[in-house]
Amino acid sequence: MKLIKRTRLAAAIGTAALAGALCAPANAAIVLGGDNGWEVSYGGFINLFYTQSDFEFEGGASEDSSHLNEGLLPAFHTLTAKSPEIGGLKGTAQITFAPDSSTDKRKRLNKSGVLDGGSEIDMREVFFNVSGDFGTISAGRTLSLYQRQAILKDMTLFGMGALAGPDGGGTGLGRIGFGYVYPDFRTRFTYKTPDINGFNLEVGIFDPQEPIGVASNTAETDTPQFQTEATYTHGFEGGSFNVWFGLLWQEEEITSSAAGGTGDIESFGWNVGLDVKFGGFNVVGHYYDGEALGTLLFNLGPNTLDGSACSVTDCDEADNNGGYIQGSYTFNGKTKVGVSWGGSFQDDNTAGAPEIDNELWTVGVYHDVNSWLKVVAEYNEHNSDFLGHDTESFSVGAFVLW
Amino acid sequence: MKNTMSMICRLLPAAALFAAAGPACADDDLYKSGLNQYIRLAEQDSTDVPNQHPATLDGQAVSDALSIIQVWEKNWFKPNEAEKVFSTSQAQLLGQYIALALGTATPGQDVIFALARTDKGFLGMRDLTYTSGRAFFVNGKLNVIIGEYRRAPDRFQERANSSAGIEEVRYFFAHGKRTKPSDFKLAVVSGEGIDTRAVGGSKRRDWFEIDVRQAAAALAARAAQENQAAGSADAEAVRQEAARLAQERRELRLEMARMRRDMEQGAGQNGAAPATVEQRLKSLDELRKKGLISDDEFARKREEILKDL
Repeated sequence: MKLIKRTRLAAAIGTAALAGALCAPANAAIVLGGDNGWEVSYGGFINLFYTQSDFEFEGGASEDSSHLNEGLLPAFHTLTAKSPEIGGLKGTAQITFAPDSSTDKRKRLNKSGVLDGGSEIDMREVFFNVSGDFGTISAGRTLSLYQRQAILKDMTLFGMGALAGPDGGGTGLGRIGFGYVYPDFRTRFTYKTPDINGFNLEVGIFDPQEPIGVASNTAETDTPQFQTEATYTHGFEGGSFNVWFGLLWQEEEITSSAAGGTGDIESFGWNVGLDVKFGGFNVVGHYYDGEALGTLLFNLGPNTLDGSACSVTDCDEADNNGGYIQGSYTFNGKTKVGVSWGGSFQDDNTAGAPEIDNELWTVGVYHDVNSWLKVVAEYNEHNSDFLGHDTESFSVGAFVLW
Repeated sequence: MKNTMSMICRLLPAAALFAAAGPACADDDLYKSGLNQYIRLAEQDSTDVPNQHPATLDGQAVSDALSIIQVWEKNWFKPNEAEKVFSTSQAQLLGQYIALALGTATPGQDVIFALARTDKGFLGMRDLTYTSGRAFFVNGKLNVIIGEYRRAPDRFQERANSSAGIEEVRYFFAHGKRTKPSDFKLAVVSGEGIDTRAVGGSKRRDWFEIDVRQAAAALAARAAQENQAAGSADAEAVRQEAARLAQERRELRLEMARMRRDMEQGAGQNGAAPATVEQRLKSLDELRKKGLISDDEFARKREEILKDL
């Protein structure tokens, strides 16, 4: 009877196939499914690097550092629930929490605090999607649209990149502030078109940001932040290319500043990028430009003179731009060797924003031992007006994924 | 709020310009699931030898034939173990859609495909891979060229994207060529209607030539042999089961023929068969009677069909 059972199963699958019922595969390793069509999955990764670095601070001081710390990515733990399709609608709900695997060298307590700089659980994603033939509506918090392709295609995503300091906990910076402004995990409503032969457009309203580190009544934001991203992907003989274009706009009114000036700060930025793959070769280029965008994190504001500043009479936006170029070759589909250069820059302005020049060179080797283990070796050299130091570092580390 | 309208005016034209530069909305897939699984008609990669299209093939027979293609997988843990090239679901999908597509294809068209399969990997984790290729009918045989075999996705990039609000990573697959062998080098288990293409005195391991009738008959013979071995006590049950399956097979063939007919009538409509409400209700009723769908599914689908009135 064994064969008959198998054949009956095959016939049943054949019928399902006729109905086009083969589900798209989930990319998580651990998947639980119920008979009612709901599917819950759990995926993630953990990484840790050993980093040897040499810091030269403004003013002449220097420090050598040996540190065990995370790469650009923290540990991600993602839980996803997917609904069955009912009436042409599919639902997805997802949360991602990101615990740090390393702490500041000056603090050993494994809990959050002023100087711990890590070791806390960072709740990055809390969102749901509703999808259908019309596209996808998404609500909640996940990585923002503006410049997200830049960080996702950056080879230091699975490496270390620049270092914020010699002793700190938390993650490395990658190219944040050295080629793109951090997109951040911001709360939003977005609408994304269905895939139209490789073309997608996503637009959304986002929770606006007010200056960091000041009292709540010193700024006012009475409109949402707007972001949009358009991407187009196309394959050709032996390769493919992907282009993207994004926009960001936000308006805030500074009602009180340390210098005394008040006024409107209008952030506006655009970015464009290209990712070309041909055989084992891959070239990525990214450029952004705008005003009141900031250098590392989005427009920290007058208090930090990053992105914008206030004088005794008024407030003014600073011009920001930057980008990176990256070339890599992957041997046997498993070992990627890459080199990249990039920078983020700010022009000074009359309200007191300083000129900022951040540049980073990276050379890295990224090897997939198998489908769940990656080992990495990376050399980084950066100079940063924003961070106030020039640094050379060498990191080796590993990722385990599930 | 005073700058909101000016901001909208700044954002929208640029987005609209980019959208206008994108490709027109067109979809020529016979089957599509997500961004990376599809079966579609495409132009031949080489026009030296025209295909014998349209070709009339039995979908279930093609599925059976594809399901018995095996390769020798030799490694430290599995010496001399044969492995199926197509999983059961891949073979079923491909068989049905290849038969459907080649029934209307022109001599200058091939079927190209990319399909996923999931196997148990390390510690019971899901190990997902993609197989892509092309299929066409020539010299009285179904030909299948493997472009990429069990290609692993970039799971690290997928995981990073997934935790950044991007559900899928798009891949582009090679579909194999008549003029150049792909990287598929595994040794194929020949016989029972399955062979590899001889080119210039040597065999192309990535190019299967399939005598569909012979392969399907071989599978049936294997089934009969196994059934015989199952013992005389089960013989009557086996016969009844075989008769029932044969009946189901005949009904499936009729269904395929109907779909093919509808497809021909509705050419240019993506392979979607334009059936009347009455035909659809009858088909639905048949599926319920065969026990292939539940009463709930029947009721829900019936309601959907009646909404088209």
